[in-house]
Amino acid sequence: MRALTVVIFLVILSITLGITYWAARRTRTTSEFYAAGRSLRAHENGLALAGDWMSAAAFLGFTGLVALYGLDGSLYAAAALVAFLVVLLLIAEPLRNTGKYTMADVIAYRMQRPQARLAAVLGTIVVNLAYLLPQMAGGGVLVKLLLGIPYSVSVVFVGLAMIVYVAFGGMLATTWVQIVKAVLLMTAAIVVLVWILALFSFNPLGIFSAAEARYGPEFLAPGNYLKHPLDPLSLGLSFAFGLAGLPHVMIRFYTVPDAKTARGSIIWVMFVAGAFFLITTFMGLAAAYFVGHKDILAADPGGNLALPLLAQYLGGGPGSLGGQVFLAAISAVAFATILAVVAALTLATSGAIAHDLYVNVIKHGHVDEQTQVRVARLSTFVVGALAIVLGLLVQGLNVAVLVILAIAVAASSNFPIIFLSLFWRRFNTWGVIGGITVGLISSVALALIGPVFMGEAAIFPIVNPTIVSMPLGFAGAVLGTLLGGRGGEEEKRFDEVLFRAHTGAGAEL
Amino acid sequence: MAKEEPPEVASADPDVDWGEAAQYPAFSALMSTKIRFLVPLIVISVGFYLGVTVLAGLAPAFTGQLVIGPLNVGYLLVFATYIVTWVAALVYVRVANRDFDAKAADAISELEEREAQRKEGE
Repeated sequence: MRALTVVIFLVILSITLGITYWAARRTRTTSEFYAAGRSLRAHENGLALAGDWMSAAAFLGFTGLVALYGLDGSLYAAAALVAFLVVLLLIAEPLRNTGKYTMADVIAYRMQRPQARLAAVLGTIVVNLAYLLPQMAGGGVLVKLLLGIPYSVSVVFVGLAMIVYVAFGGMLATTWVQIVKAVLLMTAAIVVLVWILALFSFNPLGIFSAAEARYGPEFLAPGNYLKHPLDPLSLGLSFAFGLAGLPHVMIRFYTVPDAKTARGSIIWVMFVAGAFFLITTFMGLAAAYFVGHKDILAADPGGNLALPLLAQYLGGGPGSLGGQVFLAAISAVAFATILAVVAALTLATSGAIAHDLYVNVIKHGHVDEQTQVRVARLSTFVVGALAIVLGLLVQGLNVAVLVILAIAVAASSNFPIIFLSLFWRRFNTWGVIGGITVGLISSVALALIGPVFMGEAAIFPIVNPTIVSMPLGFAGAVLGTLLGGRGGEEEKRFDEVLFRAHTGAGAEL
Repeated sequence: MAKEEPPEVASADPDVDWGEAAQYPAFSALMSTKIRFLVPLIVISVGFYLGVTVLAGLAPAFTGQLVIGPLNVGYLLVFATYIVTWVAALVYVRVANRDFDAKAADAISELEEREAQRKEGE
């Protein structure tokens, strides 16, 4: 049976490498490397966005949370959809109209000071690394589990694959790897959903009745996972506003020709990924009913293996041929998911280092086209190598806290400064520095003294720091702005930013 | 503080007085339409979901009550969140495609006309 798993892995690997080969021949300029030449169509970028957002944490995590905790898990999944509404209504189009390659571009466009760009780079790198590490660790564990090779070899393997995709194929390869992965993931989810529904004579409510019959109505009531009364709201705020601060998702809006296409691509992701998030509720409840809490917890205390176990059950159970085929297929899809997301994170981080730090801050923009692409590829190798080393170091540590941290930092430090850069006339460079610093420190500090890290002994009772750290991030931004004083260049530039953000006048072509 | 190099922008004119441009009627019309439409839409749609989370946290007994067969209040609200979110997105895109894009194009042509006039005057 391991032979079958190996074959599926090799198929995924050769498809993605084939894409990279194809994309590498179309990736010569800076705009092609970072933004796929701004030529993607709405459905292409929409599916790639869905690929970005349906990470392993969503695919395995949401299903596991619903399987173990019912409604609380479903609240998580719904938050992930609402997040794109915030992006659609507030951020995506202005971002497309004023930025170039990175998240920091939008801030720098308004402020035109290296200090502001540096602060945004800090936010980018912290969020990306906090997001990347759990994915690397998860990928390592998954490959180890399926192919029987050691964890360290698996991490190196995942790292090398992502370096190859990004360094050679840039944004175009990353995009198509995401699209392939999104299609695989949706197909898997739909197959599992139809299979489950068939077992309940196509009555979706039957799944709810079955789960309640086995675990009682309290299983579907709130409070099983999110214990503190403010936990659900803090989680909701974190997701709803954190997405708009995730650099690897935001740079996707530079890959389309104009704001209208950016808008269209969000409709695609909202229906594709939204349907997927809805399906995780049904898969989770089915896993609870068929597999049972005991076996789910025995396989992984976090519930992350609920879906693979459900697939195994649906295929005929452990040991059966069908069960093993299903398990191998779902695990391979999870592997593809991780590869695609780590590639996107590597690209966004390389952009922050090559485009923001090297080209704009160190060289003041005076770098020729060829050198820019070379530096971008080079920094991909550096970021990839760093990710591999960090991935090896975190072996055996509980990196779950980092997932919460990534999104909380994004909501508390990146979102406030992007939002205020676009919408507040008085906002200035000191405000950017204040917002990033306070948002970053408060979310990291509160997560470290929170329940995920300290368990029962937690000093801060809420799992997700955002309910406190996001207002603090905004407060830091406002305070910095006031201390910076009035009448600066940044304030004068507001009208230009506003005009361009909302009309697309002079947007990057 | 040091200053970053100005961004290279495709059709940028360094002489445009943006403070004035932001006051032109076409652009003001675009912004007021957007604000009038977007603020209520965000408050209702994002507010709906945040309201659900507040209810789940502060009124777990109510949220856990069974209403339709095996479905409790919480799950009905979660499903309603999907509907509200999808509808809000579709409404926005419809209005933006029909109205905002045309107004944005008007604002750009007004800017270009006035710039052309100003150049002639010089």
